Amino acid sequence: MPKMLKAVVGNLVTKPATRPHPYRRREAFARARGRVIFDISRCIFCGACALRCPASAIRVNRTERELVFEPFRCIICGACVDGCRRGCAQIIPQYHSPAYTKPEETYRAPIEVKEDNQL
Amino acid sequence: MGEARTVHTELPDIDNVQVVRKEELLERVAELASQGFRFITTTCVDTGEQFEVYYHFDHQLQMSHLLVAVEKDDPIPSITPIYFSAFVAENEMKDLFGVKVDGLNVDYQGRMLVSDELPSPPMRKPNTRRDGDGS
Amino acid sequence: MGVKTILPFGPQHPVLPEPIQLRITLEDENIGQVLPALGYVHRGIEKAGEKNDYPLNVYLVERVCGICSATHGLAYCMAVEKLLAVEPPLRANYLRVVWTELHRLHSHLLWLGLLADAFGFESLFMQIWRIREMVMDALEKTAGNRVIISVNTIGGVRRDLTEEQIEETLRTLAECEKQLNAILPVILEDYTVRKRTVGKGVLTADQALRLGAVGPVLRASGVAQDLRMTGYAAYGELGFEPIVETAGDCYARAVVRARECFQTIDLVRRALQNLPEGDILTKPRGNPNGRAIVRVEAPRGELLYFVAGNGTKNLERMRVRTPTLANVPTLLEMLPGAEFADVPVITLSIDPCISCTER
Repeated sequence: MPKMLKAVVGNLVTKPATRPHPYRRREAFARARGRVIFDISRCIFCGACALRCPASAIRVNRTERELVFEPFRCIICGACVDGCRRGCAQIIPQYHSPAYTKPEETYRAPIEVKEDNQL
Repeated sequence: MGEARTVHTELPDIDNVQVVRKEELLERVAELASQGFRFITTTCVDTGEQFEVYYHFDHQLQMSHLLVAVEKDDPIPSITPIYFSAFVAENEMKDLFGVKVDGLNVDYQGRMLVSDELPSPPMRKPNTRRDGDGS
Repeated sequence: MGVKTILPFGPQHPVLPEPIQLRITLEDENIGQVLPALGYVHRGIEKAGEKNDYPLNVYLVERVCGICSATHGLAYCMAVEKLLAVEPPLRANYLRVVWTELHRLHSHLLWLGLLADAFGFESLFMQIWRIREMVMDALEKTAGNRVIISVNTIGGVRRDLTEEQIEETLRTLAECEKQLNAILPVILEDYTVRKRTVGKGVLTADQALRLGAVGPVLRASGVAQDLRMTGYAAYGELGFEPIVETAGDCYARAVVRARECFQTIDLVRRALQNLPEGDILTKPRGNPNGRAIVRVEAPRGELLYFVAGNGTKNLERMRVRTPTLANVPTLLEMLPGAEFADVPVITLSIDPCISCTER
C-alpha cells in the first residue's frame, strides 16, 4: 500500500506523458529524415539520383531538362542524397503531410540555365 | 544424371559443403541427426539446368551443409521423417520453385505461401538444358 | 470423451496481431492437433532481390521485417561484403552494433508490452511502450528514422555519430534502464503473470534442438546458443555472454528477453564508450560473385542470408531464413495438450513475426 501511495501522489503531481497533439506538435529532430526536396538550380540532370533510387520515385529526363519526383513513392532512404554530387537532392527533417491524392512534383531547369546553353 | 557439380572453386564459396546423391541423402541426414545437429533450413538454387538444394545444419555454432543436385522434374525425398521441422522449408521450396518433394508429413500442395490463382511457381527459371536433339 | 471442434485461430485475432492462422482441433477445452496456415502476407522479396541491383537490395531487405530491419540490413551487407572481399572499418562495426542492439532493445520491449496485452494488462502494456518510445527517439535522433533506419550499406555505415549524440544516447539509456528496473518486477513477479506463464508451453532442450528452435526460445530451454558468440561485427571485441534460462516455459522466455534488455543496454553503452576513431565506409568495388552464407542474431533468433552472385549487378539467388520460420514448428509441439485459453500466450511466447516469415 505505501508503495502504491507513492505512485498515486507521483502521478498527481507529474505532467501527463502524452502531448496534446494537434495543438502542440513535436519538433522534428535535427538529423531526422523527413522528406526529400530538390534544389533544382544546382541540378545538372545527370540522373544519378534516379539510378540509385530503390523505389523508382525519381525520373530524370535529360533532353527536356526535367526531374519528376513522386513523394508518395519515396521511402526517404537518402540514397539519392548520397549519390548527388551537386547537392541538389536534400533531406529536411520535416515530414510530408498526409494527402488525399498522390501528386507528382515536377522540377524544370530555371530559364537562365537554358540561356547559358544557347550562348 | 543427378551428379552434383562443384564449379565454384576459385570464387568465395560456402565452407563445409558435402555433395551427396539424392539416393543417399536420407542416410546422411540421419547420420547428422544422430550426431546432434540442428536443422536450419534448405536453400534451393535454380541454375537453369537443374536445382541445387542445400541443406543447412548447425552444431555448436558450426555450420555443415549437404548439397543435392536434382533434375527439375525428379522428386527428392523429404527429410521430415528425420527432422519434423523441415516441413516449412520443404513446402516453401515446393511453392516457389516447384521442386517435387516425396513423403512430406504436412503437405500444403505447393500452396503454403502462394495463392491458388498463381499459375506456376514464381521463382522457377525456364529450363536452359539442351536435350540430346537440341529441342 | 469430448466433442471435437476445429477452431480457426487468426488471421485476425484480438490478441495476436499477426496474420497467421492456426487450425486448432479442440477436444472440449484441450488442444489436440494444430496446423498453421501461412501465406497471407507473402510479398516475393526473394524474387525481387534477384531483379534489383545488389546495392539497392539493402533497402529492400530492411523491409522484410519492420521490427528488426537493422539486423536484416546488417546480414545482407555482411554477405555481400564476403563476396566482394570488403572489410568494413572498425568504427563502422561498432556503430553497427550500436544500432542493431538498439533495435533489439525496442523489439524486446515491444514484445514485453504485447505479452502484457495478451493477459489484458493494458496499463503495463502502455508503460512498457512508453519506455520503448525513448529508444525510438534515440534511434530517430542518431539514425534519422524510427524503425527503418537504413544505416547499413555495403562496406560500412552511412551515418556517423557526433560526441553530442553519443552523450545524449547514453543519457537516454541510463533513463531507460532506470525505468525498466522499476517496471520489470511488475511483469516478472506479478501473481497473475506467473499464473499465466509458468509451466505453460514447456519445451525441453532436446525438443528445442530437434525442432530447430532459435533465439530466446532456444536459450530459454537451456541451450547456450547465440550467434553473437561468433563475434561478427564488433561483438568479438566487446565480449559477449549469452543469457540462458533452463525452465523452457513461457515465463523463462519472458525472463530471457527481459534480461537481454539489460544486456543490450550494457552492450550499447560499452560500444559507445569504446567507439574507435576512423572512417565509417570502405568503398566496395566490382560485382559480387560466388556464394556466401551469413548468420546473425536478430531479436527473434538466428537470421540466415544465403547470397549467390554471378558477377553481374543482379544476384543469382538471395535466400532469407527468418527466425520465426524456425520457431513455428515448435508451436506444433507446445500447443497440443495445452488449454485453449493459453493459446495466445504460448503463440506470443515465440515472438512471431509473420511478415518476416513469409517475406
